[in-house]
Amino acid sequence: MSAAEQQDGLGKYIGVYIGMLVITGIELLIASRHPSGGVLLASMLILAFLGAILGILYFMHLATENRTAIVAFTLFTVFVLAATTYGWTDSFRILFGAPFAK
Amino acid sequence: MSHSEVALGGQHAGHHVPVMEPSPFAVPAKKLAMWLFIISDIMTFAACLVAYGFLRNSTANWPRPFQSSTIISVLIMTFILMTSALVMAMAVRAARAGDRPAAFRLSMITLVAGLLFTLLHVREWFGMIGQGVTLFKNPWGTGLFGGAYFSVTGMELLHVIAALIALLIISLGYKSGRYTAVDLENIGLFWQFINIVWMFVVPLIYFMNLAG
Amino acid sequence: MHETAAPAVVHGPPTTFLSKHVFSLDHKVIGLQYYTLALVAVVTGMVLSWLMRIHLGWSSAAIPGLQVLSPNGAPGGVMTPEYYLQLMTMHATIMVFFVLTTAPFAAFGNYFLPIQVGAEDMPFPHFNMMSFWTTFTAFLILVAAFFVPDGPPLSGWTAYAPLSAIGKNAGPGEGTGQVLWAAALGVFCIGQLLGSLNFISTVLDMRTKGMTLARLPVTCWAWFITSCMGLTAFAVLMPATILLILDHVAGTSFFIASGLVLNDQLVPHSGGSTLLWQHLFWFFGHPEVYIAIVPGMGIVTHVLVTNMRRPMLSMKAILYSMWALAFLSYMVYGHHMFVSGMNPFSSLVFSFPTLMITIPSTVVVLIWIGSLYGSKLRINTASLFALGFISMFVSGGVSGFFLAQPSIDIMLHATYFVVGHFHMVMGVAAMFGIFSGTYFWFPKMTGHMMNETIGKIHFWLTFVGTYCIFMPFHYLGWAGNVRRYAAFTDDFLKPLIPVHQFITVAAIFTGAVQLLFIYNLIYSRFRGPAAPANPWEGTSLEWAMPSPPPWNNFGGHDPIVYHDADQYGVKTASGADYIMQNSPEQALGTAEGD
Ligand code: HEM
Ligand SMILES: [Cu+2]
Repeated sequence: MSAAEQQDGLGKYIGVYIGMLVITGIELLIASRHPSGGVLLASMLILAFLGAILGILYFMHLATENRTAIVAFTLFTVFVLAATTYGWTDSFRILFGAPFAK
Repeated sequence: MSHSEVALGGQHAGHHVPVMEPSPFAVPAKKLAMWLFIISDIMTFAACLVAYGFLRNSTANWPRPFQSSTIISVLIMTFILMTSALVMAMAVRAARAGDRPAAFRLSMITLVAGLLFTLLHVREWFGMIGQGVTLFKNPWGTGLFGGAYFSVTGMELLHVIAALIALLIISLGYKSGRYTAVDLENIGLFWQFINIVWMFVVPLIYFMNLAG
Repeated sequence: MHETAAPAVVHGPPTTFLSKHVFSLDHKVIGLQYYTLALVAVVTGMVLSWLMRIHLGWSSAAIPGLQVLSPNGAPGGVMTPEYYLQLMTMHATIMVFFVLTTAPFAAFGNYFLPIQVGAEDMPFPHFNMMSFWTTFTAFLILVAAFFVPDGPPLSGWTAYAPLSAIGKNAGPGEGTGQVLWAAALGVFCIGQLLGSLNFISTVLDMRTKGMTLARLPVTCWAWFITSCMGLTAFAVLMPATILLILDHVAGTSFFIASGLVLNDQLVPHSGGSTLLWQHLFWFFGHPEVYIAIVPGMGIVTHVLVTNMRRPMLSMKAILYSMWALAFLSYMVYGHHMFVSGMNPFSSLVFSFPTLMITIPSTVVVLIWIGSLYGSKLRINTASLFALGFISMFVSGGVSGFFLAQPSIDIMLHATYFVVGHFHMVMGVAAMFGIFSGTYFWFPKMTGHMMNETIGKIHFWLTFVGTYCIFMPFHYLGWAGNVRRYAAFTDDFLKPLIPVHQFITVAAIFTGAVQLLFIYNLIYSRFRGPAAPANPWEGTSLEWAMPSPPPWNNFGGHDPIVYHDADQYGVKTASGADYIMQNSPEQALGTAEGD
């Protein structure tokens, strides 16, 4: 029933599409200069999240869903995702020994 | 709060139509379920990527094998998948506007692009296997590399294949009138999600392990 | 305008035996199927616990017949230490997944959630049916581990790597048995995912006219919150089990570190991390314990309100506390890993929210007790078990305060103190929630009343029995009694054996008491007096339909809701002290006049 209203213009889609391609290009550019591990990881993650946000908001139309839905889905997912990263510090400890324990 | 307005259920002719409270998210149940499934799937991929990141971090000499030939093919795959995502978004747009033939045509283009992506992906895998990479050993260093590489990209590949089958069924059904625009939109959501996962796989698995 | 509507209900009345009882799309039948599965599982799990208890009390005693189940694990009927651990693993896995997750959430939730929101069914009946049958398949896969040559795995329900990952040389059951275990849990996760999708969309999109979110009964919220946890927690366990299986069958070493020597031989794996498994497992594991308890909290609140005949002091506080539990449950999982060799800074980071989580738990308990204070509680089996739940939750929860502090937990972690903690707060409390729900809803589900006398005897004997079993566990823990030992041969443990013998007797006694419950279930199902539509004078919608309900719940007439479910202790024109949710009647004042 709600056919034509709230339709994004094609222009917006193409913009998003180009944005995603450009992000991939920037990622490759940064990675090919072999920055240090932390910088590399951070920049890859930030750019990937940027691309994902574009996709979720416009290709998956979250931007035009109801506001409660946007807030609820986003907060919930981001929070739970953040909670998966508790273990990170342990991965460094295996490599560098046990800096804090001894 | 007291909603007095009534949201009618889907118009199933002759069926008893329940009278309901409006959904607080104003998202119909099917689409809601797809979003919830995607949230759940995000966690599944997150767990795989966290495992990969954890192990990569804790390994001193993680292999960085990817030469420019691989990267070029990955870029081509990325281009194809992103284009397919654009086309899928256009298909959903057409479906929402009620243009069945256009929506069907566009989703078929998505399907073909997806197949192409799958083929290149499999070719990529065979390339790796040909270089002696298995789940537990490879010519370059820790055996974990192969395990992480194949399990993360394998999860992606499994999703792509499942999505393509679903896309085929739903597009055909949509053309014949068995499925509605909402159904096409749903599978579209899933396809977009797969594209988004790939946006993480490429930098984290490939770009972070460039040779040189 | 967006389409806000859910699909109209998609199935008609069942026509064949198969579609009515086996591959049923009806949420009520699926709920009963889950209940039956939980019943089978709980009996299996309990028998396993008896075997373990007998061995702990009298470690050289032969258990007749055990050698038939496993000639190698129990030669001559005396179990080997390894077989003890195998039984323990199966006991815990069956209980945690197929009883505590299945019964309060999937069984009661499936049956009553759609009814309480006033819907004809869930939005996706086919998913619902698949959810049960995947769970059932998972159960079969798990139990199959008993019948493979090496028997079930011995690595515990937490399946710590590397023990769980290096394969059959690690011990009996660590080959095929462990793979089956992991496969069973992976499949189980799929069932839970399907269930959660249905539950969440039922609550959001299937509420009948007038059933605003603010009017939802507390049980619906409990199931909803549980689904939100299930949606994300099981999604992490599933890939973890896949990686574990790969370590077994594909030679990967995700969870196996380099340089591991086993039986004087270097394990041919390298590079993985055992801690990674613990992180993934407990990321799921802690939300899982709340998945087991939150539905019970909902059921207990629901039962108590109905029997107190007056609202809780603050239903809002209970709801917010349940949300807080769910929220915090993602930030505390490391409290299971204080002695794992994890970064000690992480211990600090996990300890703080763990102590925080006691706040919402305490708030819920205080509201229950404050509301009960001075109320004229109707004493029946359901309300007794609800009181028992509170008692167990408090007794078991208090030990959590100690365990939450790394410095104390270092002493207590590997002891029976932890066993006492989680059996009371999770095992028995959740079981009491299940019992309470059963006595409360049985009339609705079957159309027959249960026998109250037997029920009350069942309650008192179970209540005393479970305290006798699980309280001493705490003392054993203080005395340094290590957990997961098959027998106590060390000098400092020998004096504790009489305590174990006492516990064993109590366990067998309490287990035998459950026969009363089973008898009551079966007898009442066929011979119990016919149940009226609303035997407990409740307000929520399940009482607004015949007992048992017809296949389409409200007979094609959607109820319209005018009140929340807390309209107790009110004055009405008809003289009743309550107003049902679907009654347009307005209260004339409160009955007690305060
Ligand atoms: C009052 C709040 C609670 C606190 C502060 C708390 C704290 C803890 C801590 C610190 C541990 C780890 C002990 C160790 O292994 O050394 C633990 C274990 C456990 N808790 Fe709790 N807990 C609480 C409530 C609950 C509830 C409500 C449940 C279940 C419904 C539960 C179930 C468990 C289980 C199953 C384990 C042990 C698992 C295992 O090692 O096999 N706890 N708890
Ligand atoms: Cu915990």
